[in-house]
Amino acid sequence: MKFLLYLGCTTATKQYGYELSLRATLPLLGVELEHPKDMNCCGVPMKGISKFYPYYACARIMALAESQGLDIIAPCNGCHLNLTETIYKLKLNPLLMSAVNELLKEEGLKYTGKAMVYHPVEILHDKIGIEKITSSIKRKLPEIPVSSHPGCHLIRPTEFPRPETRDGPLKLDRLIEAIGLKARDYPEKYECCGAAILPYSPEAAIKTAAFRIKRALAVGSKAITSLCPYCIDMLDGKQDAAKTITGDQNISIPALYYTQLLGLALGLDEKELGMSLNMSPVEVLLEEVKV
Amino acid sequence: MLFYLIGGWIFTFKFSLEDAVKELRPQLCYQCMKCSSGCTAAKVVNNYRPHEIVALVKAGYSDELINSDVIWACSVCLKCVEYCPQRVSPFEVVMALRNESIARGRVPPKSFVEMAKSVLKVGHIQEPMYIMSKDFEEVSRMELGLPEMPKPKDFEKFKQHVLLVGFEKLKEVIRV
Repeated sequence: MKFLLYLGCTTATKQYGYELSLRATLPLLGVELEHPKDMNCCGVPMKGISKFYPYYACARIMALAESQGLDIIAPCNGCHLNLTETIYKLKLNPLLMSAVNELLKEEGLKYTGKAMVYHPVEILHDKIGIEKITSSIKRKLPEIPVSSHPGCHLIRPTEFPRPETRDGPLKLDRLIEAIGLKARDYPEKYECCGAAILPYSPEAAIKTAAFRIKRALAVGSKAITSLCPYCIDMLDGKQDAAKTITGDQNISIPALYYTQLLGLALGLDEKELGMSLNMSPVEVLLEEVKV
Repeated sequence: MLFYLIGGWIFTFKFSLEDAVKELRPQLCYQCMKCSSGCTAAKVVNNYRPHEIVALVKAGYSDELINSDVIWACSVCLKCVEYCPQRVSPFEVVMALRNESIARGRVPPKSFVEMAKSVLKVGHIQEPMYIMSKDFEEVSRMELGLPEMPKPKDFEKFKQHVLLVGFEKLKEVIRV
């Protein structure tokens, strides 16, 4: 299986731990990753500036993938949502499709709707499969309760197909159990991390993230895991700010990418998985995971 | 304004609030407040209530909303889209108001300006940063052995298209 790795801005500019762990784990499970030579922003934070920019930007990304004859892996929830929405809306609206293609033609590109987009959770759960994961891991991690935070855009909106659904167990939870950990539900599981409030009011955004962390701690989770760079940026990178803003010194929980946990189970070194870049106390979890 | 003539149809990338309102039908809202009860931003931002925004648009106070900063508080969690029993989608209403405020030449909150500037400069909302690791080392993509972040190849053409699909007015206002 070969895919084009479309990282998106957040993963490629600051969440290096995600990129490192993706590049380290997926090839071990038989997924080949191609690095793109030409890419642009998907337009999620720019939706408020212009309704049409995301259509053009995403169609451009899909057209680039199509020119290489590959499907896309979009590790960011925002990018995945926007790319899927563009495919869906352009297929429904031929007028929009031809208008966007009119622009792409000038760049020597064409989008026909052939290329598809996948999120790592789909790649791991549907393409690779739980069985392959359980048979390829070097060792099972101990039964530590871990909470998953799938992130809004993996579930919503229901207008077009999303990788996860609120009806029934999450794919992410099944993946957590596959490597030996215990998936622990918590009340804020399907809630927003607050990343998109950051440009308007950083304080409000960090309060939101702090609330999520407190609830995860309350149910006795030992870690929060996600596959969204925005969620981990908020839940992992903003813990110190959350302590200052809320005045609650108990806000401290390891928050890391699922691919980092998977890497540990696959026997990879924590340095290879970029775990020194996590700002939350991941060393606490590493201590417990090491046998 | 640029028109594209496609197979006898005229398609324009110009956005109009009237069209959006017609399409989104906020007049169907009966103020059940389900959107505000679930809203992520409403819990932490004092005066942001999606049902109030829909009510104001319905009553014809769109201009006041466009001139206010509160429309930029939405956290894009899309819960209101799912919760609304009338399929009004307060999220889309807020996005339509944001688009209109940009089209009228209002300046959005600073971070949005920074992101837009970066898109017009490198094609991404920000450039790769130096990150401080736990061992107090400053690391970049190169030091971690990651390949260079790709940019649009024909950048001038890309920029021209970005301006065409709605960044023109913003570029004039923020003077890039």
